[in-house]
Parts: sequence; structure tokens; C-alpha cells
Amino acid sequence: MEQSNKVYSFILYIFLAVCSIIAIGPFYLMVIMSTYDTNALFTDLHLLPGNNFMINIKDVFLNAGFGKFYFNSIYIAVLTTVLTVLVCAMCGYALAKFNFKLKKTAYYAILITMMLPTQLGLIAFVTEMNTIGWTDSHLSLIVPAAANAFAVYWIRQYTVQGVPTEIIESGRMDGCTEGGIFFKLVVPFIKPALGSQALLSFMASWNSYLLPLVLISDQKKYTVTLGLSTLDALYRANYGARIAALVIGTIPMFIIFLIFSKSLIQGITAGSVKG
Amino acid sequence: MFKKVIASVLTGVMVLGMAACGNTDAGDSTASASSSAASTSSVATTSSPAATSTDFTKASGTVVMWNWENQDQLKTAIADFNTRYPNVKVESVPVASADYVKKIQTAVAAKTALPDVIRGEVGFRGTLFDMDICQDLSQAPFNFDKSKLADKALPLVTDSKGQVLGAPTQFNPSGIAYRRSMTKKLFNTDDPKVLADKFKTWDDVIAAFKDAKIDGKKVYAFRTVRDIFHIVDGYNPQNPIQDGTIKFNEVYLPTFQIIEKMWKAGVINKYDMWAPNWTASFAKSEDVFSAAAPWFLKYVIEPADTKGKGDWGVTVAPGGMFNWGGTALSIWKDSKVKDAAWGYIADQVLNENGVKNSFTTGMNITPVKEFMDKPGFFSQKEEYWGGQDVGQFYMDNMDSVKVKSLGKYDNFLEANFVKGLQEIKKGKTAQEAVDFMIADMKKNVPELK
Amino acid sequence: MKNLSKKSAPYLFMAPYFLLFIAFSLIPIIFTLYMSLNEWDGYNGVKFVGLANYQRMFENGEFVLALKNTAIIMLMLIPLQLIFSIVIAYMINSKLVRHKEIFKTAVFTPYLVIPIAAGLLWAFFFDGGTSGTINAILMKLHILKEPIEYLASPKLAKVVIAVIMLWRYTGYCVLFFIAGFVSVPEELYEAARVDGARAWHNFWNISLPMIKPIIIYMVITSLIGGFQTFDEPNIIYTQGNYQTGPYSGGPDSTVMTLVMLMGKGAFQNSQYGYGSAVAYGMFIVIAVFSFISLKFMNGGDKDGAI
Repeated sequence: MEQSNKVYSFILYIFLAVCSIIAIGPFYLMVIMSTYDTNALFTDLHLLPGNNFMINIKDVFLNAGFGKFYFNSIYIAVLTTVLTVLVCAMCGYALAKFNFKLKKTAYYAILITMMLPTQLGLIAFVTEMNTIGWTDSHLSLIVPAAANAFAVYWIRQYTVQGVPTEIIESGRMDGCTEGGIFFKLVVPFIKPALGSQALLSFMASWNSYLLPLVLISDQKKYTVTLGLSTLDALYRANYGARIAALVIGTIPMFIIFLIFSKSLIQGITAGSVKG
Repeated sequence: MFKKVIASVLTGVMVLGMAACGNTDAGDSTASASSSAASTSSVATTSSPAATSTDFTKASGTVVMWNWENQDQLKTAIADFNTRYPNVKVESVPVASADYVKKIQTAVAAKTALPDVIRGEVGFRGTLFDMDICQDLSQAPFNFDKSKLADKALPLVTDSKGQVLGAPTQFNPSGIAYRRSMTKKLFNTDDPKVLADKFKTWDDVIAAFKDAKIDGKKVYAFRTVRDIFHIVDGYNPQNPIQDGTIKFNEVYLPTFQIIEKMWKAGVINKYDMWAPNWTASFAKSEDVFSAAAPWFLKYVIEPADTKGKGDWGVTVAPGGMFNWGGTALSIWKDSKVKDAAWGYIADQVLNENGVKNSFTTGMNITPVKEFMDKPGFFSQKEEYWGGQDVGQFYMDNMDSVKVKSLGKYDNFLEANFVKGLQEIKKGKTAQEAVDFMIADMKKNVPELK
Repeated sequence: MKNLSKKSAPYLFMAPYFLLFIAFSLIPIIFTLYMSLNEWDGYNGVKFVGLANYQRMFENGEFVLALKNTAIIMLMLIPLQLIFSIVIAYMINSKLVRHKEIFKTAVFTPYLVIPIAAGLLWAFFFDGGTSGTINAILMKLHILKEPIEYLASPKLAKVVIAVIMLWRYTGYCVLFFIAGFVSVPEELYEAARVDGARAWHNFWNISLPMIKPIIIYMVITSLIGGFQTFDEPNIIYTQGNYQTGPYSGGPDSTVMTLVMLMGKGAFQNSQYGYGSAVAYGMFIVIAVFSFISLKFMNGGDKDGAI
């Protein structure tokens, strides 16, 4: 018994190690590549770090002005995340815990929106942003993104199961306002759903490329992804610097993941997609 | 109201100025002023009695320019420009070349602001000019005199109505670059003249490279079929789409027949131009030649082969020099700082210092007669190029260069011919490739015949 | 008073979302529908053409080709993605595995790499010739003699895209399945948990049925996401500056997906009417699948019934 257990766990570890290596491998090689100069990159396959990282990083931060792009991306992503979670949590809560006339219509509207290709109305959207004077403004990247159908669906599913209706009722008995019930009583229950949505929203905002590309033309307002795309112009053949910038651009995602990964798992576990 | 007053005052001053100096060309007064200054001192001064009225050096404002160029070179160029135009701030916004047209088109469709200075690469300039977003520079107050430009460059900046919609910063009489150490091993010479004489036709290339080996390893004449395309198509002044009719059989077929022959003879390597491994191949000794426009030397080869100093040369392609690429600067029609924008453009195109600077940093040959006619102006011995005076080489061989007229559908061409080239690489015949391209073009632009 | 508040509360809670949605999504979407009936290049006048754009999209075969390409990529991707992620999740969840956090983070890593970064990365990896990383590795191990041109081959291009997507999204699915396995009640495993030989039996008869709702959910979201495949094929052929650049769809348009076709019309070719028509064609395809999947969703989610 003991023996077969050991063998079994050995196989498990080997399998998981292989999967982990395949998953991390390309990223690891990317990090390694960022520590070489371009000529070295093309001449051989490198598995251990080189010594050109600081030079590549200097190129990225001093010449390409990545510091500013970083700041922009971070504050845009944070604001988008906060706003999305707030707007969508309220909507999800309404759909989960209230009965009202338009409920079915609203719910289906959200489901259908999830299926729409995200680029569908782009030209019209840009025209609209221009009309209200939001082109070249970060508002155009933050505010419209807050209406996220997926987030509403996600939080609604969680709320249906994760929040006991008695809590809400007792809140009403105690004379809490409807807003008070939501913020004081419901939110603590749905924190994992909010946390997991925060992670996804942050990532989506950070990765967003097409919208900033067509909306932002002032270099001072560029985001990290826009900065990354223009490295093509800056460093036509300096692949070392380009890859270093990619590594730098990915690091915030790891930090955010480490902060929110627990919520993400709890968010899924505690019921959002369970039967 | 205030703007109107300013505008009428400006117009009045301008008319007076024109009458006073009898010179209708603002750019000229600026250029000659600073070029005379430049000859006596290294720092250009801008005071010129003739330029008081239409003096764009007094223009001020922030000029926004979208570009895909090397930012370091641009920074130097802008700093130099500011010594003559201290009140004009040039804000260079990097935009990936792959996104440039998309960004312009979206801005036009959504009616958002375009940059004050638009960079038009020759590949999409026809489309750009057709969009009616560029200022006619021959009009007042700019009065850009197109007769100052080399005649060959004119079709590249004018539209069918005779408007001058851009000022060229580049003219590209192009040749082929080669690796000296390889030609020495293969043909015992690295002299550009000897090589040009040796390779007068494409058959010469095939004969010389069919079984070419260095140290027992096969070497190729060219890296990509696209090299041959740019060279041979560059000889042909006809646009492949004329008056809404696809003329691929007339314009492209002969080119593709040469490409097919070269490909099947096995003298072309299988890289795709602009892929990472293609960039990497410049640091290797597998392929001898590459189509090479002047910009190509500084934009591609030098950064791609940082250790290749002294090992490169440029010579004439079989069949002669050809035109490849090129940039022109245009002013957005609705720009609010047109004067400042023109100041920048005039400085880059008509000012001796601006032009010289652009040449030394980016090997850009600005097609303005005044400078082209000046012996040795575009001349510079380059250590990287084995001491060859590459600028002078391009100037000396410029005469045979022909230039394609611009067309409304130019923006569709690149994606199309690249597909055709892939067909050749798959072993299809030239006719099959061209038929494929015609079908593809019709699919993309149904209104074409 | 209280009653009134309770009645109006859901509307007030939903108001911010729906105001933003109507202002920034619905209006552009309706305008796009109108555009699909017109011809417009962005600067000349708008010309009403009726259904001509839809006709063109079917007559030139582009829409069907893009649909086919998208479907093939999805068919390669989704089954493998499910199998891998379920197996990995099951193993990570095993009582015999410690340091679960490390493995979870490791398999999730690909999802964290910015797509635009992943594009250049993969362009490097699948680069043809000897300098491409995968070729270099395989040739070092003497598995390959001649380098393979992955991206230039119409046959391999789809596989490459599926592999990239598999790499990118498997870890994301793993987290969902881990969550599913965690919530399977302990008692069900009790009997056989220490016996490795019976693990398979447990997996097949206990765990898998328990996570069926998550499997359905993942299939549906993968389908919806799959129909919108765009980043991977576009970025690898743009970032690497391969061949025809953005919206080219790779060799022989073999990875031209639906969203890419739409983008090609709307951004590359300045044919906004045509791009909009493709977008709505695509919406109809997704809507059909969604209709079917909605049934599943409501079936699998007993609380979802309204």
C-alpha cells in the first residue's frame, strides 16, 4: 500500500513538473533572451542568463520612456478595475436578489452582450468618443470598459448562491437602506467574486491594445502595450531591448495574480459556475 | 473672431512681403538664408531681410507628428531644427509602422484629430492623398515651388489634380548591398564596379550562383524573392492599377517571370522579408546580396549586423538602379499650426542644414535640385561600408531610376504581391501567381475590373 | 416608503451598468448595423447599398473560409484544452501533491504574459530556419535534420495557432477545474483515496460527473471565445513582420479568422460597410451557438433559472 502510493505520487510529480516546465519554459526563455544583445540572440540558443540585461533595460526606460507608460497603464487598470467591479457588482446583485418586471430582459441582454465580438462597433465608438471629447483622454479607456457583461454574469452567479437571502431580509427588518444592505451586508459575502473579477478586469485593461491604439495619440498618454508596439520603430533590430521591454511589461501581471489568485480560486469554487 | 483678425493680418503682411521681395517662395528664403549662414558658421542663424514677411522661422506652436522612424535619429534632427526654429516644438509620437495607416484611417473615419505632420510612406501615399486630408503645399501661404524638386520626385508628391500634397524627404535610387568577404571568396573582388559589370543580367546571377559554395556550404545570391520583386518592379514606372483596372498581367507578369526563373534556379534563399530570422541573416555569411535603398543601409543592415563594419558594399543591380520606398511629409488640412508645421517641413526639405543632417544620420537623399546639383553634397565615406562613399554612389547612378505614379489603391498592393511571391515559393508559375493576385485583389476591392 | 425603495432599488442598482452599456456599446452596435447596409470608406460620402455587403461576403467565399478556419482551430484546441486542464487540475488537487500553489502559478503563467509580448515570443519560437527556438532545440536534440518553416506553411499555421492558444489558456481552465474538484465532497473519495490503483476509477466515476457543470461552462465560454479568436493569429503574423503583416491571415489566409476578416475590412481596407457586415454575420453564427448553449447553461445551472 505504502509503496504503490509512493510510486503514484512520484508519477504525479513528474507529470506536473513536465507541465509546469512547458508552461513556464517559453516565458523563462523570454526572460533569458532579455539578458542578451541581439547578435547573441540569433547565434545560439541560450539557457542561462547573459549580462546585457541592464543595457537593454536602460534602452527601454531611458530612451523609450517606459516609466511614463507604466504609470499610465497602472492607474488606468486600477481605475477601470475599481469602476468595473462596482458597477457590475451592483447590477449583478440586482439580477440575483430582486424580482422585478424587466429582470428577464435585462438578464438576456447581458447574456447576448457576452457573445458580441468586442471589436464590433469600434469605428462608431471612436466617433462617439470624439463627439464627447474623450479622444486622447484616458477616460475613454476607463469609463466605457466598466460596463462588462461577463463581470455582471460572473458576480450574479456568485451572488445567487453565495449570499443568503435571509441576510438581506434581516437587513431590511433592521431598517437598513437598500444601498446600505448592499455595501455593508452583501459585499462581504461576495468578496471572492469581486476579487476574481478584479484580477480579470485588471488583466484585460493592461492587455488592451486596439482601443488605446486608435484613441490615444499623445505619447505622454501612451500605455505599456502601445509603448511595446512602437518598440518596433524604436529598435528595428534591437530584439534584446524589445524582449526586455516585454518582460518588464509582464511583471505587473504576476504581482496582480499573486495578490488575487486566492480570490480567483475561491470565486470559482464557492459557486459561480457550480451546478 | 480673434483668429480671423490674426488670419487677415497675416494675409496682409504676407501679400506685402511678397510684393516687397518679389519672392513667392517662403521655403526658399528660409533655406537660402540659413544655407548662407551655414557656410560661414556651424550654427545656423535665421535672420534674413528677405524673410521678414513670410518668415516661418517665427512661427510658433507645437507640431505633432506621427512616425515610425528611429527615435534617436529624430531627436537629433529635431534638436538641430530647433536651432533655427526655436519657437516650434515638434512632438514626435511613435506609431508602429504596421499600425500607421490603420490609425490614420480610423481617425479620418471617426473625425478625430490627425497629426499636424503626416509621414507618407510611398507604399500608402497614393491612398493617403486620395483621402483629402493633406494640405496643398503649393498654395499660399506655403507657396511650395515644386520646380525646386527633382523632376523624378514629382509624381511622388503630386496628385492627379496637380496639387502638391507632400514634400519628399527621401528619394531612393536603390542598388544592391553585398558582403565583401563573400564576393572576395567567390569572385576574387569586392569592387562595386567590377561586380556591377559582372552581373549585368539576371542570367549572370543564376550562372554565378547556381553551384556557388563557400567552404563547402551552399550560398545564395539573395535572401528573399521579395528582393527581386522590389528591384525588377522598381524599374517599371507603371502603377499596376490604372483607372480602376487591374493591369497585373502587363505590369507584374514580366517581373514574376524573372522571379520564378531565379527561384527555380535555386539562387534565392527562403527567408521572408521582415521576419526575425531574415533580420538575423544579415549577421551571417549565407547570402551575398540584398536589395538596398539608401534608407535600408541605416534602417536595416547596420543595426542588424553590428559586427559587420567594413564588410559591406553597395553596387548596381542587374538591370540598373530602381526606386524603392521613400517618405514625404504632409500637413494635415485642418491643422491649427500649419505655419509651424510648414516651418518644420521646409526646414527638413529645403534647408541645407536640415537636409544635410537627414543625410548623415539616415542616408536620406532629399530630392531638391539645389542640393542634388551641388557636387559632393550627398557624399560621405563610410567606414561601415568599407570606406565606400555610398551617398555618392547613389547620386552617380540616379539617372536611370524611374518612379511609379501613385494610385488610390496603393495601400492594397503590398499584401497582394506578398501573397503572389508566396505562390512562387510554393512552386507555382509566374502566370499562376499573377492570376492568384488578380483574384485576390478583386476579392478585396470588388469595384476593380 | 420602504416598499417603494425596494421596488426601485434593482433599477437603481442596474442603472449605472445599463447607462454605460447603452451609451458606449449599444449605440455603436446599432450604428454598425446601419453601416453594414452602406458602403463607406471613411471619408467619401456614405452610400446605401442594401444587402450588397452581405452578398459580397458570401459570394467571394471569405466568410465561409474564415468560419471554417475558426472552426478547425477550435476543433483542434478545445478537446485538448479540456483533457489537459482536467487532468492537470485533478493531479494538482491530489492529496499526494504538496506545494499546490507553485504548480497552480506555474500553469497559469502563460495567461499572464501580455498577448503582444506572447506574439513576439512565439514569432521567435516558431521562426523558420535554424535561429527559431523550436528548430534550434529539436536540431540540438537531433530530432530534426532540416529546420521546419512553421509559419510559412499553410498546413502548419493552424496547428501553430492552436498550440499557442493551448499553451495560453490551459492554465486558466485548470484553475476552474481545481475549484470544481475542491468542491467535491470529501466522503466520496474516502474509500479509495490512499490507493493509487483506484485513482482512475475515482476520477472517472466520482470526480468527473461532479464537475460536469464546469465542463459545460468551459466548453461554452471556449466556444464563444474561440469564435472571437484574433489576437494569436494576428499578432504572430504582425509582430514577426511575417509575410503580409496585420490582418493577412497567414499563408493562403489559412488562419484568417472571423474577427480578423472583420478587422481587415474595417481597419486595413477602409471598407467599413463590409467590415460591419462581417461583424453581423459573425454575430448571427455566435448567436446560433449561444442559443444552443444557453439551453445548456440554464440546464446545468439550477439557480440560473429565472
